[in-house]
Amino acid sequence: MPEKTIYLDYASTSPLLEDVKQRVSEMLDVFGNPSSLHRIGMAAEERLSTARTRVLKALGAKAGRLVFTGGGTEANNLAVFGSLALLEGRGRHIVTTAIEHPAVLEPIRTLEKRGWEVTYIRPDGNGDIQVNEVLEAIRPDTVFVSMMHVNNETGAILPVVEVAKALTEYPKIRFHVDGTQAFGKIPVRLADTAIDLYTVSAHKIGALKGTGGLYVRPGIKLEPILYGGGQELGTRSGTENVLGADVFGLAAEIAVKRLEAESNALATREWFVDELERIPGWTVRKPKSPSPYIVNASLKGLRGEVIVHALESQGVYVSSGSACSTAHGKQKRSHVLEAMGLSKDEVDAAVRFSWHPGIDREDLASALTVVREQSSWLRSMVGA
Amino acid sequence: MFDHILVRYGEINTKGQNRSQLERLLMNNVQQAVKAWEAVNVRRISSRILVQLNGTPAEPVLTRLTKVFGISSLSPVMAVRADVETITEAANQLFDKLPTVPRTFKVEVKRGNKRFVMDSPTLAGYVGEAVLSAHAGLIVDVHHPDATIHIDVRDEGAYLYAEKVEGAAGLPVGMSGRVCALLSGGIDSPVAVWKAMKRGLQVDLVHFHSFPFTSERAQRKVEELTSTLAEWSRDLNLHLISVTETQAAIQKSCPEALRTILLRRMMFRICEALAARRGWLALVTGDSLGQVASQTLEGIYAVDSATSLSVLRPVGMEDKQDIINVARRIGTFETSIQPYDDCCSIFAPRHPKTHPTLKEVERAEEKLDVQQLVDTALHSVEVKRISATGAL
Repeated sequence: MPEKTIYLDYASTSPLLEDVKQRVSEMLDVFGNPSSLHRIGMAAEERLSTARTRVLKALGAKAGRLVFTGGGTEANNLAVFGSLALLEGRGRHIVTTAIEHPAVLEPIRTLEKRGWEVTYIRPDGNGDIQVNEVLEAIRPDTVFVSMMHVNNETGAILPVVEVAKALTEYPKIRFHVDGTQAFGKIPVRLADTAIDLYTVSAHKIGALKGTGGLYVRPGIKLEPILYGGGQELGTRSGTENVLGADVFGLAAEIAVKRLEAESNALATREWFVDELERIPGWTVRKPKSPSPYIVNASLKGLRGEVIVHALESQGVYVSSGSACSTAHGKQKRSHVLEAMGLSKDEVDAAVRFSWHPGIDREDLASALTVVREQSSWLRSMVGA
Repeated sequence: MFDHILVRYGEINTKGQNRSQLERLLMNNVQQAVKAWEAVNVRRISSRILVQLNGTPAEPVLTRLTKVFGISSLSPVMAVRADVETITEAANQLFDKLPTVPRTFKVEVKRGNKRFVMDSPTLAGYVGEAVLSAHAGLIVDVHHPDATIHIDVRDEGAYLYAEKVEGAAGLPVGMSGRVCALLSGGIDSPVAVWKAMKRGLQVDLVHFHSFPFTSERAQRKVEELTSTLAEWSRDLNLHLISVTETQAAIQKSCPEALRTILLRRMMFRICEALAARRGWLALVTGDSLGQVASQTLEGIYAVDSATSLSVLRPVGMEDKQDIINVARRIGTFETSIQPYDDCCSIFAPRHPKTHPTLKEVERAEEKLDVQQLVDTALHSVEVKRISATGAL
């Protein structure tokens, strides 16, 4: 077994922050139901409301609500179904991109089956989405636009701020942004934009899985997708996950502080990309404006899955762009890389390196050493 | 309500010479099978094995014992005080517990305790009368009854049983010696292993992988299969061996069409290199004639020529559907069809040769440093001891 573990799969999930671990154990005694009238309930309610304020602050929102959900997927589903149930009287056209996460694409495809019309904006070869293409897709009956802030596979930052600005001319269009990979990784200031709904997730920034949230701008109404006791201002019923929300608030605060202290994240990424490209056989995806923490690349002639296993045998953990075999036994290729026009072989050979703000460059250097050794061994094995 | 399980054994009864040794082996296997239940005791009575439950529920123990090879049938037994009324009441209870309602029945009495107040026919008549009057529509048939209530009256008490559960049959595992079986993760090889066990073989398992070209999930799948197979045996030894280097060498210097045959020859050699140390007398594989390209008669001949060990192919002459039926019955099918195995077909030939000659295979192999590749593989051997699924 390798002596050191270098985890470079933060875009999948992150380990818990030390502060979060500490706080979790403290919070285990705060068991109350925030809806209870007694003191024990109030103590829980206080935690929940502090957490809400913290996440909103981390989002740079001055007004608006945060609806806690059971994760990013639920927040995206709430944004799509919760909006469109109310908007369908005004029009039945949606604009989104071909590179959204399945948590957005699948709800939208479901609506498409129910008769909604959808325009999927395609990326260019680098994975970038052009503002003008989004705006040109808008029709008189368009009521909903959904875009991710950072693409989870390529790291491309989508021009959501520009699109939000342009959309202010279309007051009847609601704009949702899936910020799962952006929150805590790149600066977000919702107060300065006209984004109506913004999805966040806790486990990508060192808090617990099963917690997420949807930011809702003042004046925006949502139809619930879960009905019951009317928690979360009637938008999301179910006894609140106080523990999850509390540590989410903590992690959000820490993430923003870290981000402010981060000075040369993009330079580190550039250096990593340069080094990777120097290794024979590697090709790197290059969006124009990338997240500093995600790099997507392929090793010619090898499946991503094989690269994942070879690297893990030396303690480096990355993920493959597409899974060769999934739980259902079907081949599933990355829809993102396919939309970018990559060849089947390039798509199959893709892996993703992803890390966190404040990573030690030494760790990346050690990982690169492993990549170098393993690539040359793998290539010799397959006769490349 | 049951206090004992009566274990009968079939085939080993017929073998004269080593009989007592074989009975000891079966005793041992039964003891191993029930060792998780601390209160349970196993002892031998004339030509039978009696499992004393001592308060342990009969059902799970019985189920476990139906997977011990060498047992022909099993009966859950009630033990009661040896007086007429108690015996009669127990007989009625037993009758009501039968899994299917019989239309005809008889009572059979054995009386070891000659001081008992009734002789055997009288007791049988008395109890039969009581069961008849408690169950409308039931009739006695002494020749071909649907059910028989057995009553054994002894000094210490009376034993009653009616239900007879089929055992796994076959020979006690270990009776026929030790072999190594190649377990791929597919449907056929677990069935081959099961059949080998059924004929009394103690099976050690070997799984060849080519990590990182195959995933750890594929290995976990093989461990899961091993665990299911261990229900029919004792804990099993699973050898995980890497043939990555071998595959790479074959890919580099041998004709593509012969890759599978060459790899299998190498696998056999690797097993043979371990055989002496592990006490393996033969190899077991899941080959089935004509199923895939390497399983033609020519392919089998070319592969077998690489080893001096006997190669046993328990499913060699069986149809795929029959193999699948067994796999379903023994519980390996659902695991086998998980997709991980064929995840990496990177080394597999597109057009494998179906009728290779030994000569061309040997010629192709000249380019390989066979000894060195075997040694490399031997360095990667990892042995895991695997217990039965759901073992307590």
